[in-house]
Amino acid sequence: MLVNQTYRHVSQSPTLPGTAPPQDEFDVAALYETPLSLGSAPAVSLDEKLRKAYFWIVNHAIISPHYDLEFAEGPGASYHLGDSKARLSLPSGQSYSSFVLVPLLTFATRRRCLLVGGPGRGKTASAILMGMLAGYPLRDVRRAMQHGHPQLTISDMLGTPLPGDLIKAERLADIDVAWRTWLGMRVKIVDEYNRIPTRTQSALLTLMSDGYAEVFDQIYESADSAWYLTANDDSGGGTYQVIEALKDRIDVVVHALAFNSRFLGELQERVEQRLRPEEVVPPEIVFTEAEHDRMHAEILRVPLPKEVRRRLEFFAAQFELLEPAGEQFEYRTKDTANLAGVDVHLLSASETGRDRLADLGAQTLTGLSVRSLQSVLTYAKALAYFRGRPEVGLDDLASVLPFVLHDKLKPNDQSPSFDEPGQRPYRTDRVSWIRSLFERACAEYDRLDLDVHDPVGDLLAEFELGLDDVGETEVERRLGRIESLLAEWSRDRKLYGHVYDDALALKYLHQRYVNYRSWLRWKK
Amino acid sequence: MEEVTPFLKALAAHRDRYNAQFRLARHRSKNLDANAFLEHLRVFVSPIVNAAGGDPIEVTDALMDLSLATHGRLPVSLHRVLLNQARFVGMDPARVSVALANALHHLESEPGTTTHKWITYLEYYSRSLETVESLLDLGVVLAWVCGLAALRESALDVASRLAPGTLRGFTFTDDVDQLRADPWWSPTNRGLRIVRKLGAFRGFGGTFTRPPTVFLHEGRLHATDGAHTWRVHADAYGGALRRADNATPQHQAPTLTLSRDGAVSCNGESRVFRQLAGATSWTSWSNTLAVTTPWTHSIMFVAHS
Repeated sequence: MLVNQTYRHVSQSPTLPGTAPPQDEFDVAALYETPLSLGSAPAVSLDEKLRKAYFWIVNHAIISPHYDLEFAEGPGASYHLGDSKARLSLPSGQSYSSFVLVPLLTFATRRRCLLVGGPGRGKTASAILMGMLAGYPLRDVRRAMQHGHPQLTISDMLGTPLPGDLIKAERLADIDVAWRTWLGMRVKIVDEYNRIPTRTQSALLTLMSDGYAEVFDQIYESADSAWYLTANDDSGGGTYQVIEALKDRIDVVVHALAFNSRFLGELQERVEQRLRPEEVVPPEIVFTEAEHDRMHAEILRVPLPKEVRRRLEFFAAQFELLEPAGEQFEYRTKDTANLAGVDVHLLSASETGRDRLADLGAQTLTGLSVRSLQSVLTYAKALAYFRGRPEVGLDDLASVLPFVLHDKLKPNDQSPSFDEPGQRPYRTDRVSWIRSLFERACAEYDRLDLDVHDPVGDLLAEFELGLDDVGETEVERRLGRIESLLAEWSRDRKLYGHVYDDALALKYLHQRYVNYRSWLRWKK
Repeated sequence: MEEVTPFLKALAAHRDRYNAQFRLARHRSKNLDANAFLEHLRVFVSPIVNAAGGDPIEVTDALMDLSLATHGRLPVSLHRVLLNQARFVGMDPARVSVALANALHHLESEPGTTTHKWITYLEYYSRSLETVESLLDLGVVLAWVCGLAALRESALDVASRLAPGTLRGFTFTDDVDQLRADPWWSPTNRGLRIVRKLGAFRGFGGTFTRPPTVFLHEGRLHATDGAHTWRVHADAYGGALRRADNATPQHQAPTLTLSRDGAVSCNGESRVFRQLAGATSWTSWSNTLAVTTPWTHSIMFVAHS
């Protein structure tokens, strides 16, 4: 009898029970293709292949016995331990380790991931494994990895002009550049990026954000890649301060969690037996360039239902409003204060009327950028794809938010909310803080019953149907509804972030209808 | 002084990688013994690599993967098969070695199959073959003829690709359509006759906990013992039961009929089979009648040719 369980073998399909139909017919394929399989075994969908890659990494490569990305399929148990009543939950659904899954989703979507944590926690090893998943030989992945250090120059990182050309050339265009091979790879690793000098960081920024490198007026168009940057200190420490623009280009931040001492035996075996999992990544979980492209396209096609998107809209709306920052309605934002170099906390402290404990916006110094929202959408789709879900669910969205917004949503440490006993840990635990913000936003969304009663949503939906054949009488009716809604809010409601966004959306609609009405009158 | 064989060259070229692979395999399988595995490489892998031709590193890689996947416990019969088919292993090492190992596994796992016959026939009829595809086609058809009844449809699909005379060598006909039309065809047997008994009491190593009953679902034969349901594959070469719990009985006009006293009738011809008297269920399609009785855990098949 053949046995199909060794270190090199990946989990058998389906990795998510219930996602693959039972096989009724015994076919030629079954005669030759099971129970042992070839590395290039066909008929495995790419999401299943991605799950196999995940399970191979957590089972064999990285000792990360953490299941911090929790999913429920029915009621689950939880226990409170210690004086602080620390809650330990036992999820009822298949749950995952963020330290493995988030980099894997970055690989699938070709985004940019920052791995943070103390030295020797497996950050670089995790990044190398991602390079192996792209099919590169281990030696190439290691050679292509850029190591940040204070003497790293742009030429070291990008390429060197050919010495002969430097002497002979009469114009910059005559100088050929020997580009570094890592620029063309689908997985790019920059180790200890916070030790790179500021000038070299700028070149890295161009490469990461715009996809090209420039040396001596020569341009290298870089391949669309998954980026992995590591840093021992996520608060910008190291030899050089990381420039904000570079930080902003990072889509997702993930922590290397602490080593669980119960797994020291596993570590001992690896040391004694000189085990290097990255040397024997099974071919079944290696993605060709075509598969990588196809997987990315499939991820982007995962639908995001309107109901889920509305929750994200409502959540995102909480953070930008800062009433004292401006006089004109559109400029009453934290961005206005930050651009003016004024302390957001000082301005927010002068606000009156809103409950500063309940107001989620009071807990942050910044709002959410378009780039960060794009990252949220991409990672939510990628997680739904990974979980074999037909569309993005609220749990997918809630799970990726803390990692995408980790460095995007700056906490206002002086907010009184953080002095509440239950919220004090949020000063240091940013993942839980963002998770709690989203949960509270969802609770408020439910309290306002916005799934059912959403007059602004109704007006936007009505406008989305188009203006063909809409007469002036109808336009007047719609303008009247917009104005009466704003009048109602001006009487009854305090200005919260979501109301601010809704009011600006109503102004937008109002302006579109006014322009259309002018056109109708001119046409007559 | 030991001759430097292709196998030894491959080992020398990729010593570190093979050692790392072995260490990882032993990490997961504490019982994997280094000395036993070395002996396995010497006795099992080495002769095949040396006989295969092609790129010895590719062949060694493939056989090393296969050996580690099975903890170095590959059956002796596989060694004979791979050695017999070494030139095909040399052409496409990973594919051929894994495919033949899998095929052998299925044959050895299915009760009633004749693995030895499959190995012998494969050795004999593959001598004139040139490509891996033709070898695998031959292997499928032979696996069916040697008792893997569930392979019938797919084997018949590839049977026409075999060289003229090869199919006749083990089925006594070149006519694939005839084999497809009559699952019980043989050059000698004619008329109504019992052609197969399939299934047994689970307590004696069979499948059914109680005497089963049979029915058709989507034109295919199924059997149930009340607790579970199986798809039934049966023809002149073998029989097999595969779990199919979603099947439900569907009515289909009978082609052969069975009376209470065991008389089977078809196209005006009738014959009494006493062992079929008092049947608990029966169903028929094409030229086949499947019958169950309270006295046995087997399904009995009557054919009319």
